Amino acid sequence: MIRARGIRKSYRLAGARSGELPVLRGVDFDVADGEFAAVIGRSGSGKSTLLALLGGLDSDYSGELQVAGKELRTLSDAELSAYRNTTIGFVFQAFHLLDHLSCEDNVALPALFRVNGKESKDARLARARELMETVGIADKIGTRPGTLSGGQKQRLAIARALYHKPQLLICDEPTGNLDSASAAAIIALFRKLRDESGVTLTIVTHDPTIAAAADRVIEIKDGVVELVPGPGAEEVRP
Amino acid sequence: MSSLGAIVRGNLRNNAVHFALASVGVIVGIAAFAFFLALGAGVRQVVLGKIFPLDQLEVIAKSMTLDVGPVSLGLASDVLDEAAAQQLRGVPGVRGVYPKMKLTAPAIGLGGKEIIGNDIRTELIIDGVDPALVQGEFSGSEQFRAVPEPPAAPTACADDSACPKDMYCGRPYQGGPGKVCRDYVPVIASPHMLEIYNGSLRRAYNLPRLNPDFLIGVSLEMRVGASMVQAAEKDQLLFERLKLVGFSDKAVPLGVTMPLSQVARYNVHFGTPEAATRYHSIIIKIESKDQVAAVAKAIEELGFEVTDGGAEQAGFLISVFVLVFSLLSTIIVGIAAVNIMHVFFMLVYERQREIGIMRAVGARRSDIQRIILGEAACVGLLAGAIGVGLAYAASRVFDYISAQHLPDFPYKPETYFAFSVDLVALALGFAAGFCVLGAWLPARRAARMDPAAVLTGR
Repeated sequence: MIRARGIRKSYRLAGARSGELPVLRGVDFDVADGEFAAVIGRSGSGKSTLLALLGGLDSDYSGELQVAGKELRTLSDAELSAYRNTTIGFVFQAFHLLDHLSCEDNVALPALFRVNGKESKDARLARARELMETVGIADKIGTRPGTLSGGQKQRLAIARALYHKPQLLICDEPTGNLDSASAAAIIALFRKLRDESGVTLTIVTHDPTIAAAADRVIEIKDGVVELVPGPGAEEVRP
Repeated sequence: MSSLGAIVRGNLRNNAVHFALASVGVIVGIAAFAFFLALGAGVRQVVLGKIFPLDQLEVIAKSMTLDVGPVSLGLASDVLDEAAAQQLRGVPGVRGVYPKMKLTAPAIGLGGKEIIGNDIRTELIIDGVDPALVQGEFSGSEQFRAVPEPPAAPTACADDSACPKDMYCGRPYQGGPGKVCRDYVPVIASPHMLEIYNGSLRRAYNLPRLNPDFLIGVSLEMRVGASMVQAAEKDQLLFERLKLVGFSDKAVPLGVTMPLSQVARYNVHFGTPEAATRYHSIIIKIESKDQVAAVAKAIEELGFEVTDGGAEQAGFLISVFVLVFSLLSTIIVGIAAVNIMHVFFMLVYERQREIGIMRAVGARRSDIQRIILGEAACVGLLAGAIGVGLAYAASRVFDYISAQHLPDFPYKPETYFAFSVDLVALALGFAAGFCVLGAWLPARRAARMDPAAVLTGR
C-alpha cells in the first residue's frame, strides 16, 4: 500500500532569507495492504510531516513516496484532491468536524467534493447513516457534533473518513483527546474495521496501547525510521 | 456547484452576523443605484413618452429666410408635396409617413359654456393630419376620419332631432339663411394643452380642473376665415361645428387637429387648388427608437430638415443625470466591496480549519474558491434584493409626498419611477458582481492555504 524510499523534507526557516530546517532525512518504509501500522516518535520528530505527505496534503518533498501505486509528488492539485477524496481517509486528534453541519452532513462531506459519480442528497445521507451505525453512533443521527462526547466525535470523524471506502486510513493521534475507555473503544473499532473491510491503517500516535495493538510500529527518530516489530507482525526493514 | 450549495448555505447561516454587517454598504449603494436608475427611467418615460415622443420625427422642407428687422422673410418654398412623401417612404427604418397641413386661413372658435360656465371666443390654430397617424392610439380614434363633402342640397332642419344620429342642425357650410343637417368635424387635441391648463392656467383664471374623459364629445362652433385680429369678408366664411374625439400627442400643441382632407378643403377654398397637396410638414414614424439618429441623418441627406423637438437634449440631460448618480452609487458599492473584502479576509482567517478540513476530504482549490465566491454572490444578491426593496419603498414615499404636498404642474406624473425587471436584474447583478469582486482575493488566499499547516498545527 505504501512504499517510501529516501523521503526528505525540509521547512524554510521563518524570517530567514536562506536556510532550511530538515525534518525528514531519508525515510524508508513499506506498509502492506491491510496492515495496521503505528508511527511513533517524539514531538518534532517528523511524524505529522510524514502524515501530511502520506495524505497528499503536502507534495513538496524529495524521494519516492507511492501510495496505492500513485507517486504523490507527480500528482496535480486536482489529482491529489481526488486521491484524498477516494483513496484515503483522514482521522485527526482534534476531530476537525464542522459544527454548523449536522452529524450526517459531516460524514457525507467528502461526497460534496467527488468529481465523478455525484450522488443524490438522499443517497449521501443514507450512506452517512449507515456509517454512523457502523461506528456505533446511530443514536446521534440528526444531531450536531457539538452535542457529542469526545469519543463520539472521533467515531463521527472515522465515519467521515470511511465514506468513500478508502484503501488507507491515516490517523493523527486519534485517541489523543480521549479518556482511556473511549480510547480503547476507538482502538477496538479500528481493529474491527481493518478485519472486516481490509482497510490499511497508518496511525501516528504517542499512545502505547495503539502501538501495542498495531501489526507494526514505525518509529521516527531524528528524521529517519527505526522499525520496531509490533505484536504478531514480522519486521520488514527496507 | 449544486452540492457545494449546501456548504455555502451552511456558511451563510453560520456567519450571518458578519455577512449582515458587511452587506450594509452594498445595501445602501444598491438602494441608491436602483433609486436613481428608476427615477431616471421614470422621468425619461414622462419626458420622452409624453412631452417629446422619440419614435417619430417631423420633417419640413429646407427653407432659407432673410431676417429684416423683426420680420423673417422666406426666400424659398417651405412646403412639401406627395413626391417628397414618397421619397421619405423609401428611407430605411421608416415605418410610416403621414403628411401634415396647416390651415392657411384664420379661424375662430366659440363655445365652452358646458365646460367652464361661459362661452369663450378664441382664435384657433388648426392643422390637419392623416387619420391613419392616430388610429388605435386612443379609444374612439375611429371617429377621427375624413368628413364627407358638404352636399349641394343639404336637408333643412329645425333642431338636432330632425337630423340623423351623429349629425347636428346648424348653419349651412357657407352661411346663409336657415338651418341644415351637418356633419361634425372630428378633432383631436394635444394632452400638452390640457396639462398646461390644469397645471397653471386654471389657477390664474380660477377655473375648474378638467378631466380629459369628460371633454370627449364636447363640441365647439368654428368660423373659418373669421379672425379676432382683422376683419373678414363675410361671404367667404365657412361654418362648422367641431367635436373633440380624443387626445393625442400627434395633435398640434396649442390648437386643434382635424383630418387632413378637411384642412385641405379649407385651404383650397381660401387659396388655390394646388393647396390640397402642399404639406407643411410630414410626420415620420420610425421602426425603433434606436434608429432615430440614422433615419434623421438619411432624411437630412435627402435635402429635408428634421425639426428638433428638444427630445435629444432632454434625453441627453436625463442620461447625464442618471449617469452622475449611478456613478455616485457605484462608488458607494465599490467602497462596500472593499469592506466585503476585509470581512472575507477575516472570515477566511477564522475559517482556516474548516477550509483545511474540506481540503483534507477532497476539495480542490477551485472548490474552495467557488464556495467563498458563492457565499459572496449570495450576500450580494441578498443585499441587492434588500437594496432594491429599500429603493422601491423610498420611491413610494417620494411619490406619496409629491402627490400630497407638491402643487400640480404640467406633466406631473403619478409616479416618477419606473422599476423594470431589467433594472432589478441589473441591480442584483451589480450587487453580486461587486461582492464577488470584493471576495476574489480572499477566495484566492483561501484556495492557496496550506491544509497541512492548518490541520497538523505545524
